[in-house]
Amino acid sequence: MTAAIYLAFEPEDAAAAEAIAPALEREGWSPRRAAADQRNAEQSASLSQTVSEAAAVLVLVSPAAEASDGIRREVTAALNNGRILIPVIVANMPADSRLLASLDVDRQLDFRVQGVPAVVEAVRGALQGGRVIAMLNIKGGVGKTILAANLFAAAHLIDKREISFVDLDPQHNLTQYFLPPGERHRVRAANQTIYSAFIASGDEGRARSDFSALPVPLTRGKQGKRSGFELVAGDERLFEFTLDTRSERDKAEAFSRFRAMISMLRTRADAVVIDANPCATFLTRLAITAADHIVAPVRPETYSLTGLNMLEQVVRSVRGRPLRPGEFSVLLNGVNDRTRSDAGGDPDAVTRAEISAAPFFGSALLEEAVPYSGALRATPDDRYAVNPINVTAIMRVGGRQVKEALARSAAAILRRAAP
Amino acid sequence: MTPAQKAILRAMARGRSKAELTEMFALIRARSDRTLLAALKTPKKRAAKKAGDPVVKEVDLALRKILGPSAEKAELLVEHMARKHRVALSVAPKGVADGVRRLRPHFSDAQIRAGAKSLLAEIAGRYSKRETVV
Repeated sequence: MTAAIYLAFEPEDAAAAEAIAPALEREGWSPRRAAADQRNAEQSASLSQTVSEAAAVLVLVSPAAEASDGIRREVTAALNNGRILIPVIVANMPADSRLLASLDVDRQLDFRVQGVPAVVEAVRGALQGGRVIAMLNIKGGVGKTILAANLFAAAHLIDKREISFVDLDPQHNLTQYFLPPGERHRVRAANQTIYSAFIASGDEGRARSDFSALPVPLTRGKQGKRSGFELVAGDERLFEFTLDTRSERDKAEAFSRFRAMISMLRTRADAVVIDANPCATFLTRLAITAADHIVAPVRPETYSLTGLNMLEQVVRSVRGRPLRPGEFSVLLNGVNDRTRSDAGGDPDAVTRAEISAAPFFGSALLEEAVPYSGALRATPDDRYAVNPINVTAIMRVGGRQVKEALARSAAAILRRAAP
Repeated sequence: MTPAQKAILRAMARGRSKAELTEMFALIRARSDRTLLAALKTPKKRAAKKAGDPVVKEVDLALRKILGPSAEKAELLVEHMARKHRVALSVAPKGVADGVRRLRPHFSDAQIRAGAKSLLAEIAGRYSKRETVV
């Protein structure tokens, strides 16, 4: 499929846009721009829709763009929909430019010096890299964390996919699943958790250029090679961003730094998997705005369906546009549970039938499902997992049925998440 | 009875007393063909079970507390021995038994046994599951 590249510019910068557009077409990409009326405040949903369909957004930066409400709306739509923003400077800009500060600074280029070839290269770089997948459900206890770890361990071990996890939950259960307390304390003391990525200043913060040192390897790398299975560890101090203890300015900085971190991870993995917190908070917004695809695990029970409906509302509200079912995968977790009562009929069949019949999520429901299994429980307490990947069900003895289900489900999710 | 049948009987009776032959005829009448044929088979010779290498057994038992494939445990042991004794070892063992075999040219059995124990002690310190509460 031809990748669409959105061009955001003001009439004053049309000459640069006219030079760039044919070069993009020559590369086989399709340059797009919203119609003039789409850039009005009343048409924000329609603008978000157009921007979200583009693989990357080129913003021609100039004083005219700085003053433009249309550009501001286009940038907001791109940020809310996880699009890669490439700032292309076409005129002198003040040092305190608010527009430049809101864009991805690590991708910034000067059109007057570097010209069209640099723009083409920047777009090519943006189109490469892994997909961002968020494990998300507004309801808790549906198996987001355990499934994230085990599904993508299967993808790594069976399909040789390179995976980077991001633990975006203040409870940091994904980090606890993989790393024992001693390791977690070491990682925290070395400012190697996601908290250090969020903080711009102070002893606990890390420079953006140092983000590549954040991921902790979860496999033993062979012969000096980098581990293809790694984790940006979670941190309980993330609660500062879910309560009102951090200013809006700090949150804006965290938003921008989080985008930069995800951008770095995309360059080194086939899939960047975000384990998000339940509920709807600033952290949930980060996960939604970064994700190319959302996986919603659902347990065969009534309340899970309510959680799904809330999820659609929250994502639609953050992205500011109607959603497409293809942006989601709904995965039934814990089917064939012999320990529960089937008094009201087979809960698996009832839940599957209800979701299948739903107008929006019906086509997002995966045929594959993960059976209820003891193999998915936590690692045995009296054994040491020196190699963190060994705690996953896929590496442990037994549970053939669940392992096969995990591998099939992971492959189906990665197929759906592909561009 | 045909002459051939008589010849088979004579071959069977050769060197046996009348009492022995009476007992044999009674046995044949009482048992099925299948039982008699199975009894005639010579038992297969079974190879004597090899006694396992006691060092391998001990090391394997010591490393059982580590969650992971045998090759990985052996790799940990080799790395640990190299660190402990400050020796450069470029060994990629296929499992615990192979690891012990490859360590033998460099270390005594006692050193290997002690190495497995100290590896586990080191890991227990680093990867203890004990949570602390503030």
